[in-house]
Amino acid sequence: MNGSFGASLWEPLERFMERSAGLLPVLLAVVIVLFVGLVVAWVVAGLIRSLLRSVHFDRLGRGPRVSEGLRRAGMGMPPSDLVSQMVRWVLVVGTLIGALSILNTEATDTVIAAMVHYLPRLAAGLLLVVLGYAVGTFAARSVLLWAVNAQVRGARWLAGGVHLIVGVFFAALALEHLGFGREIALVVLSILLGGGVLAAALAFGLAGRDLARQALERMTEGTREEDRDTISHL
Amino acid sequence: MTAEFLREEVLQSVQEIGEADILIGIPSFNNARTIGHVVRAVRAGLAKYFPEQRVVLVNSDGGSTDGTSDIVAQAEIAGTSRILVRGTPQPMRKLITAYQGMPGKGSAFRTIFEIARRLNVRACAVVDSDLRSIAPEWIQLLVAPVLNEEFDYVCPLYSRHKYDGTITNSIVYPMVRTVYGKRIRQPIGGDFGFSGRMASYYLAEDVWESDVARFGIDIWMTTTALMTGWPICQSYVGAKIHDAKDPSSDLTAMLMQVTGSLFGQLAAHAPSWYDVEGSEDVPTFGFEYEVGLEPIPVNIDRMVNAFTHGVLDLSGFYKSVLSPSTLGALVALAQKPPQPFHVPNDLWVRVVYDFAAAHLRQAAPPDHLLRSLTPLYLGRTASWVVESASYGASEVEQALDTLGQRFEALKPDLVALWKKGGRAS
Repeated sequence: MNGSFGASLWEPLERFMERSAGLLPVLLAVVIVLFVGLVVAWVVAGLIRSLLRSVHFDRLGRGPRVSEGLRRAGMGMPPSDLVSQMVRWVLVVGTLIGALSILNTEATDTVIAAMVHYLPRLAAGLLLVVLGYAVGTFAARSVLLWAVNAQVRGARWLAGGVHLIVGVFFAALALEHLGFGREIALVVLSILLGGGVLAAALAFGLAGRDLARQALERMTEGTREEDRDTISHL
Repeated sequence: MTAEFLREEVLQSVQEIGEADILIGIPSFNNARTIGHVVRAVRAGLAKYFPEQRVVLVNSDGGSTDGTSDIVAQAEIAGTSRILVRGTPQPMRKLITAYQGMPGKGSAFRTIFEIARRLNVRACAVVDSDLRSIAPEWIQLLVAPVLNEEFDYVCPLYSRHKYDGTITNSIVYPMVRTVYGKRIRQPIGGDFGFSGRMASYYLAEDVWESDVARFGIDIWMTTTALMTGWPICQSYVGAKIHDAKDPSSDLTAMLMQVTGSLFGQLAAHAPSWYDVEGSEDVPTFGFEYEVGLEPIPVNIDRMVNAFTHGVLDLSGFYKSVLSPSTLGALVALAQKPPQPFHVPNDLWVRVVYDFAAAHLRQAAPPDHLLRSLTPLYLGRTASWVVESASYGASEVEQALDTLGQRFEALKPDLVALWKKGGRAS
């Protein structure tokens, strides 16, 4: 009884050991590939950054306004850092794919194929997010400057609202492109826009009628004074 | 040189005229209300002061739809006896044409320059078409220094209300004085005299597809003449009164155009102006006198409010434009405006220098950058209105001279910024 129990326990353990022994070199190879790949990614990125700095890439980048364009888009790093980081992440992703391919199983092959297939959509989605941020920043600043110069109260709130709406719009586009969560983004966008319109309608039509009237009077007061200003500035 | 931008009928008229001594140019766009008076003043001035010269008037129009060109064609003075001219002055030929090219005053001037070059004129003058205060003497004062005194460029000098011309007084005049070293009081006056060779020089410059063709022509003409060493003077012509302000024009747009053009010229002429130290007067013609000008109502509280709200709302944006010390001083002013309101000279100089540097390094899209100057300018204007409330004409000039001196004293900071591409470090 005891002997048969021991044998039935030992057999699976033995099979596990055999499989593990067979898998261990593969796992070791994966770890080595990962380690080497990551080290290479960091080293290559560092070399590229040093090389770009030695040829004054950041200064060259100022000519076609790359550096300032990045700053305007809210990315404060110099162009050389940006390029080196992009290279690093490409190498990291390549290393991950290479490491997974060592496992050589149907499942990993499927995952790799799916990842490779998904990469362009992911890149496009990221591009949409970056573009949305840049467009949102530009639009919000345009609204802020208009509102400040028109002496509209709450200029920052107005600009913040524009930034949010543009951001959500582009996030919805990105999610749509990636193929998931589109309903959530659309619902958020609808709530923001619909809620804003409803709130404004309520303010004008119901309890906030007087407040809305006063706010509008304050908003337009500056414009009327501007019309009365007779200074010839030039 | 080709002149594709001159119409065929204009070329034909120019050939018929052959040569002329004096050309007066009037750019226009829907100025039917005022241009008749301007043309009559020009005609009277030419008849009275230059009766022996062969004279041509060019109206370079931007496509007016209110009959401006018809009024120019019909405008005549009733008779020379009214302006005490003996004998018969030379007839004045009129060339009325719609200019071609980018819409703007610069394109209108280009047409005038080309006609001047083809007619081989000795002296030219351009006057605005919306002037209500132009008199025949203006023509003599703008043209005679060129014809008789060998000057190539004549700037106007006006009597203006102390609250008028604040963009010129607080930005353009002190900057031109500091950067180019010449005290030209009205660098963007709009009414200038210049020689025929100066017109040809302008014409040959490659700027006619840029903002110069649209709205930056005045500052470009003045700074180009300064930078290239043409003999310059100014003539006192009296009071300057424009037609009522165009309702569509607004302060922010004006400020953007003027400062954008000025900063652009600074960049174009660097590093030639780095070593210019101090400033000197330029020869001045005309008999100066004080003019009684109607009081101007000014809403100081509105301007201070625009400043305080603007600084606080835009403080995040200003971080990429202004140095930390300048921004800190502005925020402190906005949080607790002094009574009476005052923006110190040195702070204003640093604001202007920081904006010029930010424009150079393209810290933000030019449109955004220049728009954000409006609240600060209104604050400075409010400060000026408070400060100059009790000033007479001489005290106003003294105060503006003091501001100019502060611009000059802090010029090394501007040069240092410029040498680093507009960056503080």
